[in-house]
This record gives sequence, structure tokens and C-alpha cells, in this order.
Amino acid sequence: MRHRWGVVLAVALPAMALAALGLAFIHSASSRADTGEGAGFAGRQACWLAAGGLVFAALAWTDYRHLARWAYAVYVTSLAALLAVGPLGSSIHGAQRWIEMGAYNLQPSEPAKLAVAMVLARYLMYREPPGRARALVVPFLLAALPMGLVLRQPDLGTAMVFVPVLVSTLYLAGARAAHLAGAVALAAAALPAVWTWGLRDYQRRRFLAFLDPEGPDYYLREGYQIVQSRIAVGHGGTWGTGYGTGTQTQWNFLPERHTDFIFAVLGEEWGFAGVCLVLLLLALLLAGCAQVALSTREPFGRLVVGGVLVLVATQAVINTGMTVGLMPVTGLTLPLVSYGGSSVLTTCAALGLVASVGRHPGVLEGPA
Amino acid sequence: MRAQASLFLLLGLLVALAGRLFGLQVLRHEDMAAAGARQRSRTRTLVSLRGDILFLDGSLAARSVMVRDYYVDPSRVRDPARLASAVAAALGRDPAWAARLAADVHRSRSRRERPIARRLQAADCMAMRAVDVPEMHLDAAERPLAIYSRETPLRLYPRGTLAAHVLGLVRYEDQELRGMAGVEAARDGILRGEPGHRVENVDALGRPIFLDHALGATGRAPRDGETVRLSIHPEVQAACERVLDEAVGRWQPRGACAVILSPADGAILAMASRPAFDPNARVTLDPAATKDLCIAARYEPGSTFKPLVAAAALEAGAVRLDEVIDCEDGIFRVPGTRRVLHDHHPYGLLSFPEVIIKSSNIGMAKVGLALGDERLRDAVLAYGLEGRTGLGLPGEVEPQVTPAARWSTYTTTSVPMGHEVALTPLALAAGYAALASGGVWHRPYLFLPPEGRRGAPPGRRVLEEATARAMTEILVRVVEEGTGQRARLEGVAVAGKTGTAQKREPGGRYSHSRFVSTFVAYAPAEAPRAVVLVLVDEPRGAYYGGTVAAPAVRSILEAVLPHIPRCTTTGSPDEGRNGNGEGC
Repeated sequence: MRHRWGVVLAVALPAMALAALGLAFIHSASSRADTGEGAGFAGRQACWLAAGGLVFAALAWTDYRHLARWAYAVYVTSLAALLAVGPLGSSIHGAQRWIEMGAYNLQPSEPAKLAVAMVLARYLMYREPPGRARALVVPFLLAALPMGLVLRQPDLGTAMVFVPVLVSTLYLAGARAAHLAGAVALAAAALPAVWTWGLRDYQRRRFLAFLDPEGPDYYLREGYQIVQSRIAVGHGGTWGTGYGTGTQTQWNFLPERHTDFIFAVLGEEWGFAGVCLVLLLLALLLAGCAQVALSTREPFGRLVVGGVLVLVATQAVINTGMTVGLMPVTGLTLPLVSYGGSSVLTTCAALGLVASVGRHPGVLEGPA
Repeated sequence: MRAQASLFLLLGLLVALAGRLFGLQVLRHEDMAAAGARQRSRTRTLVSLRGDILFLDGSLAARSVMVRDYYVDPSRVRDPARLASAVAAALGRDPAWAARLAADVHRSRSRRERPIARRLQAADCMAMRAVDVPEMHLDAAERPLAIYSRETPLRLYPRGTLAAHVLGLVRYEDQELRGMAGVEAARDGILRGEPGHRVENVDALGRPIFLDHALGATGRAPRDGETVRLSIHPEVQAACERVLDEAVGRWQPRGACAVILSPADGAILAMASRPAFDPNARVTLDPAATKDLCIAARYEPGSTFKPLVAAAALEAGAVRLDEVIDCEDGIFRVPGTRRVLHDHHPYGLLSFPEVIIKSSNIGMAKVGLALGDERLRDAVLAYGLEGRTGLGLPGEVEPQVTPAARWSTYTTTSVPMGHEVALTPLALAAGYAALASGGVWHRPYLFLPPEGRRGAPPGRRVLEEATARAMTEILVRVVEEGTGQRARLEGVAVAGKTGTAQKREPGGRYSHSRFVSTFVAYAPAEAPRAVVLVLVDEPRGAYYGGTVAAPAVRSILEAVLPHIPRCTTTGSPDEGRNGNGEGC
């Protein structure tokens, strides 16, 4: 059997480059930090990345077809973790998203994303293409359960990530475009009701601030982040201010710069050239995933890789979109680049799964 | 196919993102960079130091120093009592002061800034810097100290109340001192200089960032104010104020003032007004006391005006020096009117000099009638009474001379005795200076020209020298044998004239209980070096100018003549600048 390490490298190299860039700019964003706990983010992120590398290697080494059997178990475990956020969770910025585990905070919504991609693939792998609308009910429920738990935290941004994963997995599994479009249309029709009853006040304000960040109601509150991020990115210009010299970053104007807004730091200090490099690396990473998905005939692998691809792409697009003011601010990280242990480990695991699929393109013989 | 479609959608999103980034970073880079620069720069005003005011001899009349105001951020004070007692110990204040400070800090704990000590000079600042409380340490976030100070200018008047009315007052406006009265206001543009500014880079918490690369701070240095030199002679001024204070103590008047002019060029050597005030103690200031009666008040001069009119009549040939005037035994009905004039003492026939020496109103009325409306009015205006003296101090009032259209025979008989005309004490003194200088009227001045520039402008001849001399001889007799005998000075011929003007009641009638007592004199009569005017407004106990004001003028002359050199006019040892010694 060929080992197909080339496929692994096609995923691993852009991922490592993104992680390295992220590490460098987390250092830049936090070396002069005055955020209380201060510096040390880069060091901790390095540890997370090292751990992530091990997870990636372990999963890439393993034959994913054995893992497929564990998909339901993984799903149930992550649901349990999400449920645990209620009684055990700690709150940051008014939302309960973390479980304190010793010195570290685990954010169970991160692995839940991967769990949903896996469980959907597992559920759909040996079925006929879901031709009838009724066949969509179970997948919808599988996605809706964790989504509801995440919404309860409340974490609207992460919850929304489940939607494209669900839709794309179903689409790849052969669901009719008309059915999916109908579901999306139904959801869109429900938006006014969601706006009125489903959203909390701060969520509505965040959205309004996105529309008018410099408006008097928002400028110093929800709009501040948007304005500062936009200034940071624009200040960078074509070539950037230079590593470690961005005034928005270094002089504390940009909040959340080492986590959700790391892309703005990069945009300020390395300019348009730097962000294009990141976008290029993301495109390479996604292309690597796409190559795996396209070359895999085995249905679980194909579907799970598609799910991971959409997961990473969605987070990247939403994160960079909010950084440049194209989307409302949500608490989504830029995969591999932003600071955050849960996010790093989940992304590495997801990519490890992709690598494993790439290494084992065939259908497993013998009893499953 | 489905996979490809999805990937194209994704590619489209990435391209849209790149497009947005291109727009922000390349197309709108300038706007965004400018917005960033705006929020990270702060302009700090650099206070300029107000210029000095110097007396004639170069001694300091006013000076500014930089002191520091100390502030605390109450929101960051843990223990107000400890802070207050540490600060009180450093500054040597008592425990009550510390208790007040602690209470204030505690009360204001939601505020960001409270003053804790103002106007601290260098030694106190050193003590403050050594105060060892947590608020004086960098905290974990390296925020600026919770106790901090700012430079602020302080105006000092080293001689206290001396010439306070001339010097005026300052007040604070945007950290800078602004003149609000006297010389401080009149020369504010020269004295105040120009504040500078420094553009600093600050971070999001407002902490300054010091950089060594391209984003460095910019700004403009402050320009300190320039020096203003006054013609006020500090010793003459001090003597003048001392005598004035004695007079005020003796007569308990509403107010009093004194002016000393140099007759040769109109330099104001002293100018004092009472009630006094201390410009160093602005807080306890009575605004009414800042009024300078020498220029901001207008009085009917009464008999002191007679010599000015008499000299003009003599000059015009309306009377002769040896003319005898019938003073009507003290009661005179002005022809063509129903007006009846009275003298204080009835006189029969008086020579022209005697009319002035005895200060006969009837005699002067006849002189006025002989001179005629037109010439009388012109003569009055010639003594610089067309308008303000042009001294340049704020608050100076204009003289009041009846306009030609409303001039009547009544006016013609009133003006020669110093009624229906009102002028400032300074303007009256300037008129006497014209007699003293041999007939040349000088605009009184206070400000010395900058170095190297010629002094006061030349005067204007209003009388022939012979006329002025004749009038001086008459005025010497006023002091020798007339109403001004209490101004007599041993060994020095003094020329002077008393004035006792009834004040006008609000209805326009002349009061019989409220008087203004004046004496104007110059000496030595043969070559006058100083014109001295003393005016006492509503004295109690006596009211004749000869009783109330003349002794004060005598005391002043006695004290100041030794200080005023014979020859130079502005008294400075620097010969080159004082080329205006016309009197020599």
C-alpha cells in the first residue's frame, strides 16, 4: 500500500505556515500587552500548537475508517460537554462558553463542530442519497441539538457555523438542491421572528453596530471594535507598518487582538501583502482538503473531509469578514492563526482526520 | 459536480474578501491611517511665561514664575487618610488640612481628577515627589501615577500693593494668564507671549508613547512674553502712597488719589488710588477697590480749574495782569440771566492775580465773560480735553465739556470756576504740567518706549512762555499768601492751587455736604520738576482743598523732590534713551 505522504503534506504545510504566522503575530500583539495576564500568549499558543501537531500526527497515522465507528460516541460526548457548560461553565464577556479544567478553559463548542461533521458523515455514509425531504429530518436534528446548546450559552457565531456544515454535507451526500434551498428559505423567513424573540439585546446591538459602527449609539461600545479593526487593517496599507510596529496593535487600540482579531494585527503590520499571503495559505489548505475529498471514493471519508473543509472555510470567511467590517462581530477564531487552545486542538484534529482520509482513499475490506 | 460548485462558491468568497482588503488597505489607506493618527495623538499646551513689568529704575513690578499644581485621581486611591497625611507631612500642613483633603478625596472617589495642592514652588514639589504612598507608584498596568502635577504660571507682584492700580490684575484663562485691568490688560498682547504645543503619541489608555522613529512628536515651543517698562518711579510712588494713606487715615474719605507728573515731558512718575488692593491676593479682592480714581473717575475740578482758564484769558488779552476786577461784595447777578453767584468771602475790587489767590468765583466769572464763549471753549479743549489722555490704560474715562450747541451764558460763568466741566485727576494734572513746563502741553504717558527708541512725542504749545510764567508767579503767591499756605515748603517755591468742589447730587443740584478737595502744585516754581495732584473724595471733618489736600501735596513734594533729578525727565541713568530733556 502506498503511503501517500504527499497528500498529508498538502494539508500539513499550509497549516504549519498559518500556525507559524499566527504564533508570530500573537507574539507581536501581546508582547507589549497590558491585558492583566499580559504576555505569555505566544508561549502558550506554541504549547497548544505542539499538542495540536501530535493530535494531527496521531490521527493522520490512524486509519480513519476505524474512527468512523466512534463517530456517534464522539458526538454524544461532545453533547455531554456542551451540557456541562451550564452548571460548570465560567463566563467571559457575559457568555458561558468555557469549562474550567485546572489552569485551562475548555471551550466545548469547538470540538462539537467537528463532532457534528463526523456524525453527519457517519449517518449519511451508507444511505441512499436523501432524495426525499423526509430524509433530511434526522441530519437536521443531529445538527440542531448541539446548535441549540451552543445558542443557549449564548454563542450565536459558533452556532451559525453548524448551518453551512449541515447544508454542505447534505449537498455532497446528494440531497436535492431544491430541498436545501427550501430549508434555507424557511430559515430566512423565520429571521424577523428570530430577531424579535430569539436574540438577546446585545446580539441585536452588535448587528446594528455592524451596520453603523461609528454611530453615536455604538461608537464607544459595540462599534469600537469594528472601527478600530478597520483602522488597523487600513493603516497597514500595501506593505504594512512592519512587524511589531502597528500602532493600533501595540498601543492597545485594538481589543481582542491576539484572538478573534489577529487578522487585523497581521493586516496592520504586514499590510495587503500579508493578508494576501494568509488568504493564499488558507486557499492552499482548503485546496489540499478538496483534493482529498475529490480523490476519496469511500463515503464517510469524503463527507467528513467536505464537512471539515466547510468548517474551516466558514470560520475563516466569517473571521476575516468581521475583521474588515463585512460581517457582524461574533466570537469566531481564525483557524490555526488565532490564539486559543480549544480551537487549535479541534482544527488540528480535523485536519488530522483529513490527512488520514487522504492516506487511506480506498474502501475498507472485510467486515466493518 | 457538486463538489466543484461548492469550491467555486468558496473561491468567490475569498476573492470578495481580497477585494474588500484591497479597498481598505490600498485605496482607503490614507483615510484609515489618518483616523488612526487622530486617535493616537494628543495636543498638549505648553504654557508661556508672561513678561515682566519693570519700574522706571528697572526694578520688578510684576514677574511670572512657573509653579506646579498637584492633582490626584481619586478613583485610584485606596486609603485617602494615609494619602492625605503623607501629603500634609510633605508640605508641612496641619492635620485639619489633611482631614479636609482625605474627606474630599473620599467624596470624589468616582471622579478622575481633584486638586490636592496648588501653586507649589520648587521646594514643595521636591517634597511631593518624595511622598511614599502606593498612589505614587507605577501599578501593574503601568498606568500613569495617580498623583501627578501640571506646570502653571503664577504672577507675582514683589512690591505688594505698590502701584497696584497702575499694574492691574491677571486672571487664568486656559492655563495662561490674561490681563484684566491696568497695565496687565493694556499691554496684554506684549506681556503674554504665545503658548506653544506639543503633539504627543498616546496609547488607547491615554498614556504617552515615546518613540524614536518616524512617528515622533511634533509641536511648537512657547514664546515667552516681553518686558514692559513703566515711567513709574518706585520710590516716588512709595512716598506718594505713604502720604496718601496718611491722608486717608486722617480724613476717612470715600476715596482718594494722587498723581505725580514730570512737567518736562508728561511722564507719570506716580499714580495712586485709594482704597488699595493687593494684586497678589486675587481671591480676597474687592472689585470696587480696583478702580483707579486717577483715570477712571471724573470730577468737576472746582477752583483748581481757575488758573487754566485765567492763563488762557491772559494769553488772549481778555484781561491784563494789572486789571482790577469788581467782585461785587460777594453777590453777583450774571447779566442777561437770573443766575446769582456767591463767593465764600465777600470781596470788593481785586487785581487779576488776587482773583486767583483768593479764589473768587465772581472774579473768574467775569474773566470768562470777558473771554467769550468761543475762546473759552477752545482754551479748555486746548488742555487736552478733546478726549481721553490717550494713556492707554483700560477704564479711562473721557472728560466732559459742554458741547458748543448747548453752551450758554450760564456755562460761560460756570466753566471758569471749574463747574460744568468734568475731567479725570490725571487730565487736570496734565493741564498744570503745561503751566509748569512754560506753556507746553504733553500727553501724559506711562509706558517707556522699547530700547533705542525716542521717548515721548513732543508737546503742544498752548500758552506763551511769558503767560505761563506769569501764572506760575500768581500760583506761588497762592501758596505764599492765599488758600494754599499749608503747601508751603521750606526753601522751595511751590506753585499751587486749591479746589473745593461741591459734588453733584443725583438730581443735578450741587451738594452742601459732599465735597471733593483737591490741591495741585508744582515745584520748584522757577524750574518745576514735579507736578503733584492730590484729590480727596468726600473727606470727613473738613473739606477745603487747602485744609485737606494741600498738606498732603506738601508732604509728597518734600519726600519726592530729592528723588527727581534736576535735569532728566525720566530719571534713568541711561543718557541715550532719555534724549527728551526739553526742560533742561
